[in-house]
Order: sequence, then C-alpha cells, then structure tokens
Amino acid sequence: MGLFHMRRWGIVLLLISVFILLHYFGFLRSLEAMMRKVLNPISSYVYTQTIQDHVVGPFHSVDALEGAYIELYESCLIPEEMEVKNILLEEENALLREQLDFFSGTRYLHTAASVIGKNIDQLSSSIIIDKGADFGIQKENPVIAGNGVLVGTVITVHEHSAVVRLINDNQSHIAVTVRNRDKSIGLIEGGYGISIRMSFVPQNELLRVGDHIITSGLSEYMPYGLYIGKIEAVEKQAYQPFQDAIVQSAVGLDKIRIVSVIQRQ
Amino acid sequence: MSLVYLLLRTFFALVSLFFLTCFVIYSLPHPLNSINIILLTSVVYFLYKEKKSIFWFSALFHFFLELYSIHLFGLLIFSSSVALLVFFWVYKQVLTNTSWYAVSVLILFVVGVYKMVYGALFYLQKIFFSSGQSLLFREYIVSSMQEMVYTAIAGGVVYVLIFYVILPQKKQKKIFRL
Repeated sequence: MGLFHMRRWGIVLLLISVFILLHYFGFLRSLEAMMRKVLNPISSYVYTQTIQDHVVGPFHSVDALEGAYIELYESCLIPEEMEVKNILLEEENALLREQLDFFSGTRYLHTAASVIGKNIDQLSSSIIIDKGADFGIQKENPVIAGNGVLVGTVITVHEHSAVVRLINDNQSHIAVTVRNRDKSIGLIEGGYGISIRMSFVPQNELLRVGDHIITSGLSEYMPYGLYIGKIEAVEKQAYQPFQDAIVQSAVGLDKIRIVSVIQRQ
Repeated sequence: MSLVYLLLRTFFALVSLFFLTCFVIYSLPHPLNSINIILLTSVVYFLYKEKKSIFWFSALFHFFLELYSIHLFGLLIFSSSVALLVFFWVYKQVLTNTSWYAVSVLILFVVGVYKMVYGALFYLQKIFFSSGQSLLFREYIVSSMQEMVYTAIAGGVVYVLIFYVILPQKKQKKIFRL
C-alpha cells in the first residue's frame, strides 16, 4: 500500500472522526432529531408488522386505535374486515385496560407509549418507544407492560423517543425479592436476550419452581412490588454460598406493543 | 437540478435500505437476522458500479443506524469506514477475481474486519470512558462469526442473482486499477 493511499485513508478517517466529534459537541442534534422523525415511522411500521399474529389493521398506537375506532363507527365496512378490526380493538383495549387497572390502584405518575422498534445490534436486548423527554421521561425510569409487569428500564432519552433496556439484556441488573417463606433477596440479570437469571440467593433459603418474583425496591429509582415473573428452574451447586434460579418473564419480551413508563414524582 | 436529483435518489436509497435493514432485523429468525445488509449492499454495489462514492453512502447509512444504537456514538460509523477502506485495498490488491466464491470470501473478510474494529473500539471506550457497558467476549465472537458467515452466504446469493442471472453481460473477470 503506497504512502499516497495511506494519506488519503488518513484524511477520510479524520473526516469521519470530525463528524463523530460534531455529534458529541451537539452540532448534529437537530439533524438527528429530524432523521428520527423520518425513520421512526418506518421502524414502527416494520416492528408492528413483524409482531402481529394475524392479519390486522394498522393499530400500533393509542391515537391510531382511537382514530380507527371512530372511523369504524362512522363508516360502512364489510363484515369480515369489521370482525378482524374488532378483534384487534378488543386486544388493544385489553392491553390498555390491564395497564390502567394497575395504575388505578397505585399512585405512580406514568406515561403510556407504543413500541416502535427494537435493538439493531445482536449484543443487546432493547426496545424503542415513541415518548421521550417531551413527556418527562428520564433515565432509569422503570417500564411496565400488561398488568404492572416490569419489562425494563429507560437507558437513553431523546426528545421524542427513548430506548428501554429489557430485563433479559446482558447489562440489566435489578434487585428483586421472592414471594416465598424466606422473602429471599437476589439480583436478576439478563442473559443473551433470551433468559433471566436470579443470582446471589443464599443456599440455605428455599426457592421453588413457581415462586413469584417482584422488585425489592432496593435499586435506585425502582419501586417495590413490580411483578417480574416466576421461577422456572433452580440451580444449586455444592460448596457454593449462593444458588441461582432461572426466571420466566410474565410477558413475552419480544412481542411487546404498548408499555407504560413509571416516572419519578 | 442534477444535484437535487442526486440528493433525492440518495435519500430514497437510504430510506429503502433502512426499511430493508429493519425488516431483516425484526422479522427474520435468529441467526439470519444478523445479516449485515449495508456492508453486503456496499460490496455488491461497488462490484457493479465500481464507484467509491458508496463509501460515503455507507457512512451516512451507519449514521442512521447510530441513532438506534445504545452504544457509544461513532462505533458503527468508524468500524464500517475502516472495513470498507480495507475492502477497497483487498479488492484491488488481493481478491481481484470477481467469481461468486471470491465475492463471498471478500464479504466474509470485510464483515470480519468490521467486527474486529468494532470490538476493539468497544473495549477501548470501556477502558477510557468507563461507560459501564460490557461485552462478553465469547458471546461477541459467536455473534460475529454468525454475522460473517450469513452475510457472506447472502452476498454470494445476491451476487449470483445479479451477475449470473439478471445481468450476465456485466460479469467479466478484470483486474481493478485506480
């Protein structure tokens, strides 16, 4: 490789580095926000299509659901389409009602959001939601789905969107307690985006398959009592001070459509 | 007018590629969803048109992907830039053959360089910035190998489709010279 090519390569890489530095100095903020506005609908559309189980209409947000319901009410549709759309409306309604039921019994400040995408690299397990700093969402806010089931925490906040790290991500660590006789305390960690493992439970405490796991409130910004799932298997090794357990989340973490972010009071 | 047309065409191509990337990542089963669409497209496009402007297109596309990455900004752009620069050199000096198996090997090599640079930068940023993110070495090796192999296979298939089936008149064995 000649010196000329090395110099040209160096200039190119220098330009790339300057571009990256511009991001850190904040000069690209408006461009990035504009690009997210363009790309988020594409990501949302593709994500919604890939997690739907049957032929359904374009219901991927609360506003879209409400608008579709009104349109359905006012227009004449052929019976088959109406049936399909009704089924989807019922499903979305059930999802939202579950979350509303959870919040009606608590005093959490919360914001509902639709999932518009998920991680683009294979090394993390995360989702992108369509609410961000504009709705007061902050880092470390817990995120729930269904009837108060913890699915992750907010790790990145943009103006109109946020990234949520799921509980089965490698970097996820949440302090939990087991609803058993010993009220065992441990730490759940994600594994390869597939499994959830609970660790640091003393060997002398009894863990059984089917025991329920909830948040212990010992993590900062994580309230007590958010449901996580059930123990699927217990792993004990001789001469080790702690035992591990495999936890099954109460919701399918790869099929989440609507979540709520619990915000700090 | 031609500049406007070029900008529109580039923008449309970027958006289409983003759509395709989302489709591959979200809908294909593991490990097929690890196919690196942009590097595959860059290599095949360069073999078709032999225009180095694909480098800037790829950099711009990786900027789009950076918006959806949870890791430090710049890792994807820099890694892909180095990988493509190495690709240009390897294509000129080493793998000048444009047979389908050579293209697959080329893509395998490019993705390998990309993953190596990405992993190295990731560990460097963890050392210097203590971002708290960690990368399991074994997991990273496994996912990198999957990405390399599946992207190479997909690249070979796409190359055969384009150069042997759709546009056979484009296929010619030649030595690339600047």
